[in-house]
Amino acid sequence: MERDERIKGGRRRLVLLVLVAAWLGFPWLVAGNNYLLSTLIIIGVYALVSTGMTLLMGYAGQISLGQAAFYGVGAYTSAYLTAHAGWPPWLAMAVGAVLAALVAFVVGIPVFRLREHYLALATLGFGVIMFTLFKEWEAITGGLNGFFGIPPISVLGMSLQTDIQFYYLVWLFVLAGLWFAHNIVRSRVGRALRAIHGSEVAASSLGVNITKYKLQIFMLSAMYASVAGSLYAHYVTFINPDLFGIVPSIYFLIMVVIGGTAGVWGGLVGAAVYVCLGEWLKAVVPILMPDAGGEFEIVFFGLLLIIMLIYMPSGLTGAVQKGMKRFRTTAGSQTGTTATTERHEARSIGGGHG
Amino acid sequence: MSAMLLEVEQLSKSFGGVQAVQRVSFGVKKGDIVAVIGPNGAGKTTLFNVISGITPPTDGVVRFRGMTVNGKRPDELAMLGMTRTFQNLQLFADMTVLENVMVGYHPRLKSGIISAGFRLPHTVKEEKRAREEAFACLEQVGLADLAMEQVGTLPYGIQRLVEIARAAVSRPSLILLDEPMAGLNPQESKQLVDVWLAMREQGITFLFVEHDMETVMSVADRIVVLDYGQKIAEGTPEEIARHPDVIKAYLGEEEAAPC
Repeated sequence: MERDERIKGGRRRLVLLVLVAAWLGFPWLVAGNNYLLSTLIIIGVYALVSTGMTLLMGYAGQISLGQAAFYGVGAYTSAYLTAHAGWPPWLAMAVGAVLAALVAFVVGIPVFRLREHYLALATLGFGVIMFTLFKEWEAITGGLNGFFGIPPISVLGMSLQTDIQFYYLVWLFVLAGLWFAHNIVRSRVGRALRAIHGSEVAASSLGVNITKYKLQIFMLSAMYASVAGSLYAHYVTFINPDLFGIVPSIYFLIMVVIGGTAGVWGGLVGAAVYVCLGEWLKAVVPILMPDAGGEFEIVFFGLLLIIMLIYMPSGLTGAVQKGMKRFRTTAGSQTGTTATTERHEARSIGGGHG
Repeated sequence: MSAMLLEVEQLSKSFGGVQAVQRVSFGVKKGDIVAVIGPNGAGKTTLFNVISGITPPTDGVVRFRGMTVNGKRPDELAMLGMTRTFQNLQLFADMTVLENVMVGYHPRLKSGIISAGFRLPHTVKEEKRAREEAFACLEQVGLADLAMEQVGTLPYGIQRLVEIARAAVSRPSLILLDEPMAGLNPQESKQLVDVWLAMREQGITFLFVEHDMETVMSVADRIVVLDYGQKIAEGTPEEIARHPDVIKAYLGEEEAAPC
């Protein structure tokens, strides 16, 4: 048992090492191909949002159809505080995250009295309200004209202007976010979240304060989204309300559904698949249908969402996990199964050795 | 009075015009196994839901370890040392047996979202302890070799045992069991009873609702009988078996004392 775990731990460390090596080495591999780098940066930004959402949806089983609002809170807080108030970007990012958590707290108290469809609708309503706020509060957000001239972020006095620098920064956040999420999942808190997902009444009767955990994980997911928004704002240096409306919220949802919830990796996988498919569509659709407008993306991903929910409800990571399990049981041949049945029989024959 | 772990006083619960529980009073002494019996619809499950904080009482008082606990949430009661199981199993089907039991250890741990996220040393220590305690508890109920199985794939009788292990792992002072024998074969029931008796030795008190009269008569130290939401009798199994009202209401005229 302990040996198994040590082997598992060793394998995990190896996986981590490979990931870090890939993270460090990738820019050299693509040899400064800016298109690939900027695609990866966007994947990283979205992966942060969807990792937070994976905790909320996959583990705690609570839906949010307004997650882009928190993404917007981060982006606009960073934009306003750095461009107009002259704050250092890191401080602005932190303030954005705290603000997003506060908003999540205030919204969460009434919203988490609801469940399922009602919860979905309430978060959708929240998203609409926030989108309107971004649009109408022109003094802060610049309204529909957008917000221009967001200064770059700097690390140790060096301002990050190139894609390669930004790539490292964003993916450092992604790795940290995944690490944090992974730690939560395999802790008392993660078990509590999954218990809430499984049966609220049972979780509660075992000592899990349901409201507290739902609120906490909602706030955490809001902070993930907010930090991602701040990074995005500093990267692109121009933002407008459409980036933080309902459609982006739906896209974040789609990323989580595609990626699945078999592990904290789901969000990252979903973000990568979403961005890559989107880029592929942009290349392919104009060739196939020269008259198609920008709407095809929504149609395509909407269909994909429906298909995923019907045929692969636990997402790509879930499907892979299931496949691996099946592979392992067939590879382990029948001996494993007979051993289990024997055990059961032994137990019932042995009767009360408890 | 201080020997009473749980006291229920004049407890009533009504849903609209329906009086599910009416002015029921009884006490559970520390270390006892107390059964609540009664015909279908007598209000047993409602009584349990009120005691365990799932539904608030309409009237009356529940006192646990000397504290008035009406209006407390189930998780607050669990923190004070009262857990429960459910008539229709409420296991976390996607989790392993071990993880299910580890959720039960929740009240004994402290790690919050921050220390868990940064995996601070005391979280690591706590996780290790939770794992060991859950394993020890599974060993006690004879399920250690199934620890890594997904709970949803296991036979019903095993799932019942898992639910009890989950409720007991935090060493609560009182466990409420709602029809623990339902759906078990005689061997499984016997195994379950042995588990109970062993847990009682460790200082856990049980209050349970049950239909299986054989179990009730052989295990319970005291029995509370409900009918139409009211307590019609209370006493030792012998007293209950002889009680004329009970025989009339519940056991039936021709079925004499079963023990």
